Amino acid sequence: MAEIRIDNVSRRSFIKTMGLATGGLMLQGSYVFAGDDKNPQQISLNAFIRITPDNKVTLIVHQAEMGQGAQTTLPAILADELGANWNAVIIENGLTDPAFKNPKFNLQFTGNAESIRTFHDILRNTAASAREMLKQVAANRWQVDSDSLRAENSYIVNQNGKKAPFGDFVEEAMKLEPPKEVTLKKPSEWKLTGNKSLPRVDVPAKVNGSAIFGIDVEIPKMLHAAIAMCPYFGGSIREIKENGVRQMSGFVALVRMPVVNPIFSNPPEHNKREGVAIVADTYWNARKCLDTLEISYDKGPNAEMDSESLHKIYEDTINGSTKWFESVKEGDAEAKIKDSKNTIKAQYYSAWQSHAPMEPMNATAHFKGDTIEVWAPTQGQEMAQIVLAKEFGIPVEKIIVNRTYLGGGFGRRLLADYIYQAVFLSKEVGLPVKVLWTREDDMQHDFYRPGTMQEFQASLNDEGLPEAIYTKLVSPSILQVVVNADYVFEGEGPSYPEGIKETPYHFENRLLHSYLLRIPPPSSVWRSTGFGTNVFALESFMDELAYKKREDPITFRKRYIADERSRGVLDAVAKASEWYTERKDGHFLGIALTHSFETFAAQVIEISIDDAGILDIHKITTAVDCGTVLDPGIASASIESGIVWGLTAALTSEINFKEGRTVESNFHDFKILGLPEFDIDIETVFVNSGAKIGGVAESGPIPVAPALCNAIFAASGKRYRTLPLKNHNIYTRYMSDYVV
Amino acid sequence: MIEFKVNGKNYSVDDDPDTPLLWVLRDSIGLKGTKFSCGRSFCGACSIHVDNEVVRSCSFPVKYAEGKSITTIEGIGTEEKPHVVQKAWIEEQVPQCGYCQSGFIMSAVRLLDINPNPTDEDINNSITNLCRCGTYYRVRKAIHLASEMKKQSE
Ligand code: FES
Ligand code: FES
Repeated sequence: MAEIRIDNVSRRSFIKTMGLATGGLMLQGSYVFAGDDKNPQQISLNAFIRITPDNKVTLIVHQAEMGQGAQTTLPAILADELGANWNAVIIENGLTDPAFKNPKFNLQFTGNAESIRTFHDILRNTAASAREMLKQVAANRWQVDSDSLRAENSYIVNQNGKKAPFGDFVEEAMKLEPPKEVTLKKPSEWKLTGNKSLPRVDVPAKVNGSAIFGIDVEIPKMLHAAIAMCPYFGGSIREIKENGVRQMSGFVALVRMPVVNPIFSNPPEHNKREGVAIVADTYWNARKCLDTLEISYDKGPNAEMDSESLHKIYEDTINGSTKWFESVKEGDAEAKIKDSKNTIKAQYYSAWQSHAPMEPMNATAHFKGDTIEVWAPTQGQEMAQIVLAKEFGIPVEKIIVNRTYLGGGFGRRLLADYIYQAVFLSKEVGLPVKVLWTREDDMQHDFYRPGTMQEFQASLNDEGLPEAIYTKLVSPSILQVVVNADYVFEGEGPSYPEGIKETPYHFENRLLHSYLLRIPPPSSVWRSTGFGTNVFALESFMDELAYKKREDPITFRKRYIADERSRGVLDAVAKASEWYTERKDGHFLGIALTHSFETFAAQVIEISIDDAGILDIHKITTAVDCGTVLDPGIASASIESGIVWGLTAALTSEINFKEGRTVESNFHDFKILGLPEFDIDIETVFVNSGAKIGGVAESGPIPVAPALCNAIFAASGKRYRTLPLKNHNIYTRYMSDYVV
Repeated sequence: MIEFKVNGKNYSVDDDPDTPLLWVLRDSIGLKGTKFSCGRSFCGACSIHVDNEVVRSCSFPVKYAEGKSITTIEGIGTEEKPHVVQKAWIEEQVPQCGYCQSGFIMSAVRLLDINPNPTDEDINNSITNLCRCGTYYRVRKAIHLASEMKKQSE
């Protein structure tokens, strides 16, 4: 098993906390901070690969490990192409580097199911260059043709079986120019990836408690901060009664944070989050001090805002004479619909959601005057650098952002608001500070997946088939805060029409109108991005159209699919779910098809539901075509995880607002599904079409809500167009015990 | 001074008696495997054993630990000698982000101690931890597997 190194704690604190010196042994749980002791013996062939003369191969993981398996699959891609011995490689978390930028966005971040689909080719080319350079040195030394050599198990091997370790060639290889072109290994030559399930390298540390998350970071002399932020969007702190806090044990400082995250506001005046922090010697002392304070707030300009008033804005926008942005216009849908006598129209709404990763927001920072060092569970290492550079006037090169394990990301950890706080406080007190939010802070100060509303309208021809589709989308931005731009989006919000702008279907006449809503609650991307809610609307509507035609939903969809890969996943899911086989009494099926993150997926959910709305989910079958599945074990886990995510949002969780602030504050009112709900059969089949590799981590949740609602319709004849379903009194058997 | 045992070792701490045991374990004793998530007994991320009972340490003042014997995730097995539940967890590749997993494992260890052969219903009734990554499906499989493995080793 590979050794893992994580650049999250210094060597000193590693030795202090773990008391372990492993010598040269390849043991897991050995943490070194990549930023310090630049070992002169370590030779970087490039940003991703370091090989030492003693033949230690270090592979650098540039994407955050937040559960999706990046720390396993990404280095496995490198090791495979390089010909490295997987069992002996050292895996290290990367800092920031130009080579780590996602070329599509010119930014280093983890999310959008990008890790594999974007970096597969980059990593392979990088590793192949390194391999060829090592081979070239060996070829020169052995007076043979480089093409006659192989790289295997971290050795260069010639045709006669003569071999020597990579380490023997690495110093000279460094001096070579990287080859201009390299030949990549064929999928048939892959040993670690491509339909093989590797044990995840992070699992052992995650079952024995030694995995280091952001919350676990210890820095010498570090202080702890607990914070209170004004919960009213646009509100402010009126008064703080100190109640003798300064005399309390462990108290170090009370710090007003004038505007906690000024550049993340959308638009700025809506989301000034004034806050106060207590810095103390321990976290619990900081909390006790904070609880001693009496803080009163001015509710600010949004005091009247609540879920109902917000919902009315959506309704008025979708039904009113809105100045729409024309996102798609093909053919003449408007005229066709106006002229048709047979039309069908439906409106859908998905509620606001919180990310609620199990690890609350936290970060540790040391402001050192002209440099900043941060340790954080972040999806946005470079975004954090950019934000901090702007806010503290320190150049990005002088800002080190170390990434720990993430206790869930889901999009929330792209933002740097909590990192900013840690740096701000460290600057104030002159020592390293760890900021830890409570669950309540986390939920009330999220950047939510916004509620979105869609309307679908179709005109039907004489055969009852749609000839024109007119869609309206009303949504706040989900990317404004992520891009961290000085400008405010106009027109179409990037990413928010995903799933209804480009769909798996082709209709001759299609019009998509979108409207970028500006409302006070802060919004951002959330696992499944724009697809989640839009595909719920589209795939529900496809089902409504199929029903109108009284046609089998799969047969109906096949009439309109624009890509053969859709047919592939529909056929595969029909087969695996036995779609065309008679069901047990009371069992019904629903289906949804998606094309997202360059991956096609079709999902069938089998349910039964009684008259009281008690729902039993029996089986969820998903067929996935992500081109080539690199690690089916990790990919299946991703789909399972996505199913839970999707079902939670479809059934039970939602964020509401009242008096200008968020209502929900913890898991008692933001309900997420628990283990009892998952006594179900989950089957995932991969269709390896060989097409370009697509993302999987975000594809799991997307079809869930529509497939479920379509199944409920099949079972009960009731069509639910708004989520979550608990608002229609639909509960799973176990939810009914705990949802009030 | 409050005295108790953690993973077989004696400790005496001078934390405020109302401090949740979670923070004493994490910050005074330095055992960081036990996690903080909801802070209010809802999620189970902070689950440990106090005299063999599962306790949500975020809501358990340290004063009640006086004289007790506490086990945390660090105390049930090591990388070299994993507990059978940890073995099953590795076999089923349960963790995703991993943050909730210590709590699940501590709950599962206790369940199997009192009920070596749990049914799905038993699992439903005793594992009330939350996992935002949705590892439930594999947690269930791993508990059944651990139960099998336990039987075989006896
Ligand atoms: S943190 Fe203790 S139960 Fe959630
Ligand atoms: S594995 Fe991430 S919260 Fe459970």
